[in-house]
Amino acid sequence: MSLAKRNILLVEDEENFGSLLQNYLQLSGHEVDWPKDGATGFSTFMSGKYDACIFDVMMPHMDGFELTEKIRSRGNQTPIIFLTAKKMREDMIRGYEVVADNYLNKPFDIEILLLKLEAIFMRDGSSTPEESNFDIGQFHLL
Amino acid sequence: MVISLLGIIVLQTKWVSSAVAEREKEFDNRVNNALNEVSNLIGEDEATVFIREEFGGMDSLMQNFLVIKDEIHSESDSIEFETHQSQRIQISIDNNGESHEIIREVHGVPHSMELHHPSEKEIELLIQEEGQERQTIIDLNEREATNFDHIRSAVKSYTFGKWHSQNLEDRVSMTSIEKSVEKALSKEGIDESVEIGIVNRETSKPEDGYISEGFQFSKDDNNYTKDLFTLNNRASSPYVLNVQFNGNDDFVWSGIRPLVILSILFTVLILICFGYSLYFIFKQKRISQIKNDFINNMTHELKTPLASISLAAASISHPKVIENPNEISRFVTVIKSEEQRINAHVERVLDIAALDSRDLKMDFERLELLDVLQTSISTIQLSINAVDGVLNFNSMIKSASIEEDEFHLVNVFTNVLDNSIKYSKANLEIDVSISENENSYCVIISDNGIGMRKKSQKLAFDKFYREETGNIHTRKGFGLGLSYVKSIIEAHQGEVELESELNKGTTVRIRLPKN
Repeated sequence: MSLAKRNILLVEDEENFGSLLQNYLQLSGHEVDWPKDGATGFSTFMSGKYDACIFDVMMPHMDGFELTEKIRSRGNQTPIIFLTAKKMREDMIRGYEVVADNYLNKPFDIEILLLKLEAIFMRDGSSTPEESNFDIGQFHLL
Repeated sequence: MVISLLGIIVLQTKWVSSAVAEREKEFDNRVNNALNEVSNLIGEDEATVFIREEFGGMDSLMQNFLVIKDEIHSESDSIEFETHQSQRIQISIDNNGESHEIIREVHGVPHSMELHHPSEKEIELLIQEEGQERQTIIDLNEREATNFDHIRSAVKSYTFGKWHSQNLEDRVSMTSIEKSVEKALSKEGIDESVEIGIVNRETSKPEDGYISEGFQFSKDDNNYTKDLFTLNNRASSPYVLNVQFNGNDDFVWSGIRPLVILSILFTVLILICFGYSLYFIFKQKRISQIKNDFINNMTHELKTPLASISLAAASISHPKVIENPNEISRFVTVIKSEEQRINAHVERVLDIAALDSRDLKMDFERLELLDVLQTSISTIQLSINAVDGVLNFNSMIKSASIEEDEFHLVNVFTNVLDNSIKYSKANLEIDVSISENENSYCVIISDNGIGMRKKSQKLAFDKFYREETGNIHTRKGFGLGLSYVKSIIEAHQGEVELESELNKGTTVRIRLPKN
């Protein structure tokens, strides 16, 4: 079974890190849009359709918490993972208060991030993946 | 603490108010006592005059009674006493205790004086003026007969009755009243200036010649009154003594002033301590906030490159990359770049720590300041170009040779120029100039960036200070740059100052001494 291709919104202001993460997610078969600040991230989100979002917290113009609050205030339940260097307890609490799905600290193991994404995608029954590879022998599962 | 402080102030105020009210009440009591004393004094004066004129003085009157008393107990049946007119008055008492009437004349007015002895223990002296009814002026038992004050009191009552219809000026002078009032008030410890007036109750007007210069006939709280002549505590004339004060502050505050001053002092001291505590709490809170901000920044600035290095390493290991040398090379470049970034951050923090503990080793040598400035400008030129900015350099001197640590001085100018880029807006323009005066060289770096608030200007050189932006991370930094600049310039015996206007730009002036 291989990972299905998903649309992921990555909002990250760090050039090197953002480029590396986008690249790795693309290597894993996902489509990744990468705006570089919170305000642009919100307008990109509203104009697209995403299976999951990965947000940094400390960003120019609009931080990750505010971005999440704005998305959630519109009733949107797209899974959101925070990927941030901020590790203090208050920050984590704030992250879950704005109804994020997960909170990962930098630096992190990229495989863990991929597995978390996969778990989210498997739980999420509302979005239809573009491809499905559930083939067992001569049988194809829908 | 605020509640306690308010409670203390409220209690202090109440205590002072209460103390003042008590003192004012005491003032009223003392004035009234003084006026009673004045009334008694004036009455005593009249009695004294009567006794002197009628009996030749109090001693003479006393002696007469003593004589009378002595004789009563003797077997003699006659009693004699003399007046100052040397008229001998003989009174015979028989064994039955009956009295005999004696007629004598004093001042041309017939008086009859009757000494009545109703019993062994009692003596009565009756006096009768022509045309008047007999009245008892002395009615004493044996013990009282030797009592000076009782005799005087009895005689006084008689004189008031005798003189109550006389004019005021015939009875007492204004001077006498003023002296009596002054004496009585002084005795009560009251030194406030006073105005006096005698008012006729029947006409409701002040008596001519009996009002002091500042006296104002009105009814108010500072006006005290007392019947001038009384008999058995009732007014025996229409004259009322009025006394006015121009305030009673001296008396009211004299007793409590030291305590009030001390109370105020201690309250102010508590307020100062409270204020300082608040200041200290807010300062600590600000320090804590700055510390947290610094930790957050530090964490972000160090962990992000570490995350990049981790991702780059994971990317290199990816099956799709491991066979691709170009991609591997790209990721290795990123790893090196991020490693340098981490190193730069660590070095900066260590430099600041070393400056703090004065451990930083400075390497001074005589070098050309213009060259140092040019090096900084060259370092930063790429960044300026990246934001489509412009840098103008203007040198008003040809040479500026000073003792300097080249490495740190380059960092200083680079830091300031970097701030101009970091805090810029569109169409960045930076002006760098260098000039000299008699004692120093002056480098001015001026930009048209976003500027800063007045409050931030005061704190700009404080270590770790950055304007609060929460998680909005538009411009990266630890808040160490300007602190570093100041420390290095001061190590060069120079000065640095900053001027800024929000949305207009910032100017940094650095003075370095010629040496």
